[in-house]
Amino acid sequence: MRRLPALLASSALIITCLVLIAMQSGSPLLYSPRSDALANDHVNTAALPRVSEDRSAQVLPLIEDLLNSPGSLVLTIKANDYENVARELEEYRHLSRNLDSLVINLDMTESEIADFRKANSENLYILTELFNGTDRWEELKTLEIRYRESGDAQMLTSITYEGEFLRRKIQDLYRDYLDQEDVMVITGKKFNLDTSPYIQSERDFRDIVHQIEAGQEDRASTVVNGLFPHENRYQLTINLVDSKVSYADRVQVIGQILIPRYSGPESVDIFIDSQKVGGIPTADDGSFSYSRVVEQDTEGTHTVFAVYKGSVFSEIRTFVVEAGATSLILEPPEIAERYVGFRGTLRTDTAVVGNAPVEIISDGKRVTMVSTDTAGNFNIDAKILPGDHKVKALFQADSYPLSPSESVEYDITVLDSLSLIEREAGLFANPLHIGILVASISVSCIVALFYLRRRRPGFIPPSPVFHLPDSGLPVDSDNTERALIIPHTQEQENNIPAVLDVQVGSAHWRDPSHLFLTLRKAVSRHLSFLYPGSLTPRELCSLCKNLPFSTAVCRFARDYEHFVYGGQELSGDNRETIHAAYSAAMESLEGIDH
Amino acid sequence: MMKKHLAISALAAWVILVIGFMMLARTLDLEIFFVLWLIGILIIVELASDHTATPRYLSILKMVIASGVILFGVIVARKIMEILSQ
Repeated sequence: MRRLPALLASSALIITCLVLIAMQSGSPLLYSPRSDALANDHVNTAALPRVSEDRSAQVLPLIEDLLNSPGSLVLTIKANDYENVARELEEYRHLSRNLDSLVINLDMTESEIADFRKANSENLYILTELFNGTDRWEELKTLEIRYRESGDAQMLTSITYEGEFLRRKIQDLYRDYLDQEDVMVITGKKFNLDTSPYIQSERDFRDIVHQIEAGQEDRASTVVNGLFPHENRYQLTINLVDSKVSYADRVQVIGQILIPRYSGPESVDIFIDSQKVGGIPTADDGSFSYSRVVEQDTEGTHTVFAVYKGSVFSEIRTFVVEAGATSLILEPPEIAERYVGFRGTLRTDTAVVGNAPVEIISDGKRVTMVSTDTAGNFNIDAKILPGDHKVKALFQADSYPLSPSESVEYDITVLDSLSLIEREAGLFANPLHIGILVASISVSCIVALFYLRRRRPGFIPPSPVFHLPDSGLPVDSDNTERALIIPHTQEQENNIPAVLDVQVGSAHWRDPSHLFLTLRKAVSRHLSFLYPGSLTPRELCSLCKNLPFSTAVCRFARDYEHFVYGGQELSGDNRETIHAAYSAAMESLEGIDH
Repeated sequence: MMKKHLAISALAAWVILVIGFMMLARTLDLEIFFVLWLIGILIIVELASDHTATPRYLSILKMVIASGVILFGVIVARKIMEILSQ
């Protein structure tokens, strides 16, 4: 019963310790992002082929669905069934999320799966944009009919130009969709899947593009040449200096407006991708010029047109923004006491990249983000946990016509603050530290000493108790308590035979052990000794010290030890000697009794 | 089973449990492991010891625990200095 509280306390302590470990490890329990890159066996290349075979069974149905979904989706878009398009698009999005989850859960690192996942993600974006674009295209067709009936030339022209923007955009989407063909088809063939639905989806996509191109050409020819010939009294023309530009190049639009009775400077609005970018004043001869530097323009085709007073439109011109390569230079990180300093430069082959986001990556995880200044430089101090880390800088921004780039990777070691103290000033340079260390060690030494010297509280057995022969059995309260504490003591006393003597010729007179037991019982009876069973001959002798029969008892003890513990076989003389000593001791005891 | 064998088995099981949890959590920390080991051996020795007699192996274990308590004091001092230096 005494150990039950100890067991309960131990169980509670163990559970508390385990909970503390679990709390420290963070969430999720089985995967710690902090320690992910530190695990050397994170990727077992030898096991990858076998694992791939096992995983392919789980991925296969999903890849098949993802190969078939675009075909069905494009066909539904082609049929202008927009209600079903929205539903199928949501299903396609759900399948893509399942693939992402499966790749993460199975820890799939195969390049084919990673490429397929990336291409599928791109396809999802393309088809979503195609859905939005075709939906808007159908709206424009409805609006065109309405404005044509009302004779609103301005709105018809606006619709025509927006239609032109949509046509360019969908053409770009089609080109991007074709770019994904290699990865999708190769992956499908690798898993022995039917890729014909995907090929058919490309044909359907091309048909959609052709429909929009034909519709836009009809609309443009009707609006510009057929319906409003009187608008030709005003002529607004524009041209682009360069039709292909890259990052940091200058897009320059030059144009001229011809008005029958031109009286002075006017203002012409410039639209890029149907978004107004500014109003440009004209010169005395009606010419104007607009330019801007390509920075945050996405890669691809962009449309430009000009509008005068909201009613005179120029023709639509296009320019292509090409993606440029970048290089990200990261200087060796400067490790300070609490922070790590990252400095570097982002640039293209011809210019620096300003106001661009740069990520600082530590062990594959983003630590912080910094923007470059106008000179393309960045400088930031990031707080990184103590330990060994692999750090690098990464540039990746979809809003820039620039390819992603990353710097070289550095191995750094961030020391904890205590290690820094030891390294810089020495641990014992500060008297406070010495005091803390001495105090802590002193307290722990005292606790350790106390632990070694302490005695556990609990039951302490009574020391041997005996009484002089004339005092009889114990009757005082103290001894009564002890007798109550040990209930078998009375029983032991009852087992002592009434007559304690062994005569020569009896059954046990040649057995020294029996003689010793008999004498011990007799002495215990005389002394009222409570625990006779544990006494050795020598202890029996010492108990009888200063008593009248001590000489005889000690003589028996000496002879008994000499012959019995001597290691030799007992002879008849030895047994007689022991018995003689026994008889003398018993006679001494009997003399006292009488 | 002898008390001595029970104590050894319990201590081994506790240490394996702690190491197992630390490996699952990917947080192998020597200081935490030492403290948990000290707690475990302290509990086991207290449960195994008897008030009437102290076997030799328990006496040795108590000496080990006393040394561990001193080492624990050094760890606490280091932690205090680390916190103060931040």
